[in-house]
Amino acid sequence: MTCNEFRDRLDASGSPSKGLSRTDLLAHLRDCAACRQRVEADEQLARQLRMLRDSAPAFPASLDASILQAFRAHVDKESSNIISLRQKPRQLPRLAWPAAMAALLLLGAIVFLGGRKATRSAPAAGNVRATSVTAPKPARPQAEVHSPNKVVAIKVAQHHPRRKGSVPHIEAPAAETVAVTLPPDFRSLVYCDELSCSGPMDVIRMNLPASALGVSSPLRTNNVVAADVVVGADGVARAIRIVY
Amino acid sequence: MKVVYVNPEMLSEPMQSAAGKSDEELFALVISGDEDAFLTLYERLKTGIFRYSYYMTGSKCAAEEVTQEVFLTLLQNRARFDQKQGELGAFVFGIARNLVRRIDRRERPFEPLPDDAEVLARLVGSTSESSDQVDQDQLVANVRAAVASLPEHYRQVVVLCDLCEMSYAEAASRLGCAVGTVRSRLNRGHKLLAQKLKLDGVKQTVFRNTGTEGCLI
Repeated sequence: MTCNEFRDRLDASGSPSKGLSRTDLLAHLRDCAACRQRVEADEQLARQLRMLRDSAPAFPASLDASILQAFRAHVDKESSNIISLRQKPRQLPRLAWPAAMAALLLLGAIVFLGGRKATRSAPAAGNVRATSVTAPKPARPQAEVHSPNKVVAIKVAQHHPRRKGSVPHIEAPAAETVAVTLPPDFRSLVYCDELSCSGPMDVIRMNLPASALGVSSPLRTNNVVAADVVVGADGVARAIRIVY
Repeated sequence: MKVVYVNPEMLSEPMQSAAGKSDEELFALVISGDEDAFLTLYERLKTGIFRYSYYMTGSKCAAEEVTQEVFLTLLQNRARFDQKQGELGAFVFGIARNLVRRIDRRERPFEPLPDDAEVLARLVGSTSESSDQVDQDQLVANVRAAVASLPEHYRQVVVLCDLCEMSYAEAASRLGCAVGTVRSRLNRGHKLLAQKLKLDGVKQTVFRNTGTEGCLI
C-alpha cells in the first residue's frame, strides 16, 4: 500500500481510529514514519478538539427564562393584533353590503312614496292658490261656519302636531291645513283631500239646475233645486247638500 | 418588570404529546401560541445554536445574544419559513449564521477580550491551581484561537462536526451543501488546524484570521 492509498482510506473513513481496522493499514503504518506521524497528529487534534468541546460553557438557565418570557410577550402581542385585525377590516365587508342594500331600498321607497304624494297633492294646491288670489276672504273664527239659515259646527284640528324632540317641520305660511269632518247629509266635492282648507268655510245656499246635479225634484217644476254648498276661504266648493 | 420562573423539570422533560412530533409540526403549533410545543422545540434546538454561536464567536455573551435573537427572529419571521425549501433546523441555523456574521463584523474592529467571568477568574487565580490545569487551559485556549482563525467555510464544518457533534449529513443540511463538500472542507480544516497547532511539525505560531480568501472549496 502506498502513502496516497493510505491517506485516501484514512480521509474516507473520517476518523483516524476507524480507518485502522484492517491489517494492511496497520502494516503500512508500522513501516511508514510519515503516515504514522500524520495519524498521530490527527489523533492529537481530535483529542484537543474534544477538550475544547468539553470546555464549552453550560447553557445559561437565565436564558431559558428570558426566551420564554419573550415568547409569551410575542404570543400576547400576536393575539391582540389578531383581535384588532378581525374587528376592523373583516366586519366592514360583511356589514357593508347589507347596509348598502338597505340604504338603497330605503332611498327607493322614499323616492317612490314622495313622488306618488306629489302627483296627488299638486293639483289641489294649485287650485287653492289660484282661488285664494281671485277671491280673498277675510279671516274668520275657525271653529264655526255661519250660514244664512243655520250654523254648522265644524270640528277643526291641527294637521301636523309637533312631536317632542322631533325636527321642526318647515311649512309655508299659506299652506296651513285644517282637517274638517264632513257635516251630515253633505257630499264631498273634492276629489282628494276631503275638506282640507287653510281657513274658515261658509255654507251658501244656492239654486242649481237639476240637470247639472243629475237629480229630479218632484216639488219644483222649473227643474231648479236648492243646495247648500260648503265653500272654503279660498273660494273652492268642498261639499254639497241638496235641500228638497 | 415581569419575572418568569421556569421549572427545569418542565424543560428537561417535554410534554409527551409534543415529543413525538417533528420540528415542523411543533413549529406550526408554536405559531398558534402553543407554549408546550415551543418549549419542546426550544429544547431541541437551543444547545446546538448556543454551541455553534459560542465556538464561532468565541464569546459566551455573544452566544447568548445570538441564541435569544434566533428564537425571536424565528417567531417574528415565521412566514419566511417554507417547508419545501428545507428543514426547520436548517432555517434556524441560517438565522444563527447570519447573526454570527453580523456580530463578527461588529466586533472585528475591537481587540478580543475574555468576557467570560470564569475564564477571567481562572486566569487571575491560576497560581493556586496545578500546572496541569494551567497547561490544559492554555491548550484549550490555543485550540479555540486556532479554530477561530480558520476561514469561515472551514470553521463552520469544524464547529458543526467536531464541536457540535453533528453527522456529515446533518452538517450538510444545515449548510445547504453536499455531504462530499462537508467532508472535503472538514479534511482541509483539519489540516489547517494541525498546521496552526504545530501538530504537523511545521512552525507557525501566529494565528491570524485568514478570511474567506483562504477557503479553497
